[in-house]
Amino acid sequence: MNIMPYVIRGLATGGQFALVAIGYTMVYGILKLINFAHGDMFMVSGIMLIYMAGSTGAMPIFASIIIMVILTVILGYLIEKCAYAPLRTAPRMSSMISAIGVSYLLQNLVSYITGGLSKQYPEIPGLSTSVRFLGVKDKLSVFVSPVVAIVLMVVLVLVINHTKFGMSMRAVSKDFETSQLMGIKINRVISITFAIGAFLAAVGSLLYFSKNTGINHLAGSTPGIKAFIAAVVGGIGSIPGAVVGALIIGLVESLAKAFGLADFSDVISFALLIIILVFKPTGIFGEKVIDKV
Amino acid sequence: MKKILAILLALAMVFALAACGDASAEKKSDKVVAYVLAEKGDTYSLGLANNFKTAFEALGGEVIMETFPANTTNFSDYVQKAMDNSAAVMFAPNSTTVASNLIKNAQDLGVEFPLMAGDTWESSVILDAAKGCDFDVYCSTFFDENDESGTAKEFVTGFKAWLNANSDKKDMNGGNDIVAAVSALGFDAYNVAMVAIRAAAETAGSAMTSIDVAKAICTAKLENAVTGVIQFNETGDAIKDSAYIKKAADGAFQFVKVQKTANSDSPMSTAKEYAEAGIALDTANKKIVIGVYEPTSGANGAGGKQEVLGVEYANSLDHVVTIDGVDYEVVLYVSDNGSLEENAVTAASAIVNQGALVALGSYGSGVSIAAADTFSAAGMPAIGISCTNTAVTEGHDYYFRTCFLDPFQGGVMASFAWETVAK
Amino acid sequence: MKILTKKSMCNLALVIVLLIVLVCIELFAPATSMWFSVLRKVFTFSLAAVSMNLLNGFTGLFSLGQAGFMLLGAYTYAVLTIPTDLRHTVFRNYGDSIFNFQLPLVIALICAGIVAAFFAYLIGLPVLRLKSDYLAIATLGFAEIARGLVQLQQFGPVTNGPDPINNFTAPKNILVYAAIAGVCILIIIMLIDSTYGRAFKAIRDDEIAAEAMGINLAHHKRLSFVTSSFFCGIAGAMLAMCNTSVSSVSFTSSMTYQILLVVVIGGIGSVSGSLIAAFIYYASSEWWLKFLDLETFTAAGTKIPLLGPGFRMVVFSVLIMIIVLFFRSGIMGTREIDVYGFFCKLAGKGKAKKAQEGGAN
Repeated sequence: MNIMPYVIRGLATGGQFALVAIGYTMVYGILKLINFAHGDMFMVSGIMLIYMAGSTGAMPIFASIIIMVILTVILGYLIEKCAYAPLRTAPRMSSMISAIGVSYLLQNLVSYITGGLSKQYPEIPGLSTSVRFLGVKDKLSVFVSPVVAIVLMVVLVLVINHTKFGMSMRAVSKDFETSQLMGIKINRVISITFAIGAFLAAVGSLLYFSKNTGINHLAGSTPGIKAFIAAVVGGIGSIPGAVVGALIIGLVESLAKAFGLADFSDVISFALLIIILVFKPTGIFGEKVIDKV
Repeated sequence: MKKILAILLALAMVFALAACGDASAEKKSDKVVAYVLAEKGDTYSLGLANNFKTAFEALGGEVIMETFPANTTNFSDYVQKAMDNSAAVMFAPNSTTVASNLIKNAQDLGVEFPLMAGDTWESSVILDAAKGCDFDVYCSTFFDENDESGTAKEFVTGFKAWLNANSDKKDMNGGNDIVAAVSALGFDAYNVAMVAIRAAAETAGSAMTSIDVAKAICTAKLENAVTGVIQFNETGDAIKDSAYIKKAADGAFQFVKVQKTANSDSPMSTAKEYAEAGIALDTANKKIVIGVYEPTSGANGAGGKQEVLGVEYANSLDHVVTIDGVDYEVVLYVSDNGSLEENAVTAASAIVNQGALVALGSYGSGVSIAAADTFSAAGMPAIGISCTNTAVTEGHDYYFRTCFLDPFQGGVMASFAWETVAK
Repeated sequence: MKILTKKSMCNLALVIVLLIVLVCIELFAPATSMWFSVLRKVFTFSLAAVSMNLLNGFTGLFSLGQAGFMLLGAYTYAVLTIPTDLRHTVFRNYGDSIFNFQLPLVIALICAGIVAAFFAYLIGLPVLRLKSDYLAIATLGFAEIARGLVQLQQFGPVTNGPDPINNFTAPKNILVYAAIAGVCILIIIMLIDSTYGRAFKAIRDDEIAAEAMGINLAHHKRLSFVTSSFFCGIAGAMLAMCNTSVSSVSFTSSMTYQILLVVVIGGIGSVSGSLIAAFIYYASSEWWLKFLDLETFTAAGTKIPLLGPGFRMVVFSVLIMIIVLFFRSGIMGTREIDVYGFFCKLAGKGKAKKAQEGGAN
């Protein structure tokens, strides 16, 4: 059996998940919050494009994509401002529950608007074209996904390590209160973090949905949970970790199917998660946390 | 060091998977291979898939069956698996949500074998997804839209006119006026219920209860049904001998053929015995409530809505029953089960709470099975519209159904697949 | 220790009043009333919420594995209480069930709890070492694995694979549900009031300080986790009873989130809060707000715009967000119901109001 197709598609899924996972990992790094609504934001950005350029919309595709990305970023910003910012001083469980609430709200809203029906994603020029590479025939988005994910990751890491804003971001994630005392505008840093996460999710949704074109209100739940697992496996808080974790998850799931373990494909990623958590609780790239009294 | 160790661990897991991979999933012989893909945990999907498997193997083919977890959106690996095993046909009885992705994924991979499925695929969602596909998409269904015989034609023209006259109904149908087979079944189920209510009214007058309706359904016969004469056998299933096979092409379903199988079941001769008290006729408000237990949201929302439309159309044509010289208005009460089994009991209880004499539905076997006990406890008969799993009526005296069963449907699709492939 | 204080007497009186109301509903409400199905669900999820509260609210262990333990409980209960003569029909696709006996309800319930507790013990060995969010993720993962495994056709003779199990003992009487939930919640309250309970609260407030005080962290965390899962298993069995069929597809993580929301709405760390919230949550989502889903619903003769399938859930999630954002401590905060105190306050407030002429609310 030729396992090449499975490897390529596994890496593709991994790359798409990676873009979502970066959003999880950045927010966790700064706020110590698992943003459960992230996967649903991913789904909403897909639905928005359908309503703008799909069968029901009439806007030109490139304009719609730009507007979709902008709207997703605004959505990410608004979610933070409305649902998480008021809870900054509350116990961590409260903001996590707020995240679950937002996720519920987005899902139910989309379900209400679409009537729970699965809608077809429009054809994206370029990404949706069929190509053959290394003996595998599939859409272009499959082949570019891991590349896009790694390029964006490298850019992001460079920004974080070499710019002033990146420095303030690192400072906030190291110590929230001290960095505030040092004059860093915390709220601005957090908003921009959410905006970056939303931007990556929008790019991810473009890649993911141009391949998996049927979207309903639950379309974000599987990518959301898988990306989240990837972020944890890679070490939550670490951006390269999220990408490596996502590629591993994508690859493992694909290969599991290749080797006739399709029945277990959902169990495997969770099992991997628990194994990693037990042997290295902070994930592959995670830093050791020392408890302060 | 630890990072490397962790990565190694992950890799070790991958290779462990490779080592313990199930070799039986590989092609072993020269037999014609059918690849069957079912949704894990879905009663309908697995039931039909297993029936297809049995029938296809009996015909001399080989079946590779795999399952995928709920909410999967990327089916490329499964399609690839089918190609690797040089499958001649793929049978994927799943919800329309799954189908819309599966068909596109198959197109991406350049599949050449036909895709086949059961009754759920007869939906505009599939037509959208199958546009421009290079392979054939077939599904089995209960009725043919282009049938020229009397009742069917009358129903199709009437229903289309009704859809076009009500824009919100047309939206519910998916924005077009394609007549789904489940709408026709819904129409028939409502008419069976009306026949039974009238029969019960004749025997018991205004003292009638839902038990009388249940007894009347047992022996009811609907001659001019759209989907063929409806009469129930001893377990409460409509006696059907034909399934229609259609092909999705150029935004419409084309009729392919009628697949007939002899059905030797005899109709129920005497009504079943019921012990429950039942629900009394609402003589104060002069109305009869018919519960419509359907998913209008969730994974099966599209199909559920089309069934509701069929029922509503039937209700708009025939909504007055005269009992003891007094006219009773028949009203519908739609209760959404959200395609989820956990909502089944409350959705069914809401119908019971409305004092309905009979319930219609549901699309999807799992939710119907989950609601069966609630209907029996209230002494309310239920007429399943397109729940094809055998377990819906077996052991549930109050459940009837107007559609064919999975063993029948699986057999029909298996023999059709065999004929198509063997050419 | 004085047991019969004025406070506890008043609370006892409240429980008795509620019991009388329940008996009245059971005896006099029409058989078609929504009260029955709603109350069955309310009792089931009250127990689930209280057991989650024991873990999350009182011990400070953030676990999201509830759906998994409920699934284990539900399956254990269902499999053990199918009448022997009906077993082959339920398990028709897999030959026959490997169990060939039927247990009485109470024993099956306890078995359901024990199975859930046993798996909780096993999974607790590695994962309880994890801190807050990581524990939540690991338990969530466990719940998904449990669901994924139970659905497998290979386990058919035990779990009926993906097919639903039905025909098991499922009492209809709401008093049975009240009794099961009542006894279990009483045991949980007694545990919370014991020295163990105080140790749990100490761990919640400050793990390191608690350890310094001589509390065995691992032991107490495990005890709390296993006990909570035991009652979750029983809640799962109750869910099986009120749904009259068990199917693994319903035990998704959204069920866990639902229970979590009930706990939050009621107040994290308040048993009575969980009970009130469970009632409000399920009565409104399954009954009082149901009209929002009906396009045909009319109020005073006029159609209300926006109503349609799915609208109820939108309204519901907006309400949840409002509660989470603006009423952060929930209905009860960390307090418990105190009828005596309430009346004292009411009397006091009344006097104050008279004096102030319409004082603040």
